Amino acid sequence: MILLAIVLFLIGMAIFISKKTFIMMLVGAEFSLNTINLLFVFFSKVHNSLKGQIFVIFILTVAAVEVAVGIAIAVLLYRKHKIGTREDLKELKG
Amino acid sequence: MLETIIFLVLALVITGGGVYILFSKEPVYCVFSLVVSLLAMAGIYALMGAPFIAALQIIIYAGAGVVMIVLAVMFYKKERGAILKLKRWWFGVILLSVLFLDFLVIELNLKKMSLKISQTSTRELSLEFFRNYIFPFELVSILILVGVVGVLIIAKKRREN
Repeated sequence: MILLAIVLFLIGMAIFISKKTFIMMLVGAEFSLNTINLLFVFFSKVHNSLKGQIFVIFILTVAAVEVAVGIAIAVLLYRKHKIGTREDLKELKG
Repeated sequence: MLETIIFLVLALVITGGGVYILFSKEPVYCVFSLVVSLLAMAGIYALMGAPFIAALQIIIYAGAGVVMIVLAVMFYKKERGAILKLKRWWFGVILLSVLFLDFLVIELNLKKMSLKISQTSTRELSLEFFRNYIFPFELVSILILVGVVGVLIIAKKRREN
């Protein structure tokens, strides 16, 4: 189980690193967050405590907000400045 | 024994979905592969005795979050927009079978919950949640409010006076 979580987290990080567009990078971050949730639920079962599941609920809500804000920023960048990939972000002026 | 087999199948599905996201070029395929992975993760939650978390996962992530990501993909990259070729039916088959497996697992666990007490019920979870974690709950609601207002302000077209 822990091995599965580690492998999945590494896959998520690889997605985050190897993808070019911002939205695919967000997908990778989502994947990694879900792996962390998997570990939380697993340890909550192992220790026979409910705190892990409660923490998973908080992570779910915060991740939903994070996706909304990140996607809004990405779509706005693409619409206004035609910045869609990482290579477009060579200059960054405040 | 059955649990082990289901767990292995779900783990294979999650890992395969991740690897597919990693190696695929099309954004829409990536997003739907993410849906498959998230549903399989919900199945694992249900397998580990957390059916409420599994339901939340299906509703929030596989429902709302992925819809937002698909909408954002729609704005991107017009030249890759229309990819409605053939060979998509197996994707739907995978998605439906994963969903079916989810419900099967939830069903099995519900049967077991009447036997074993160690399974966490939604009642226990909500009691613990609203007794001890009421302040973080309110903080998270404020965070969601701030996120909604922030997204509205970001996405609004600014008038330049």
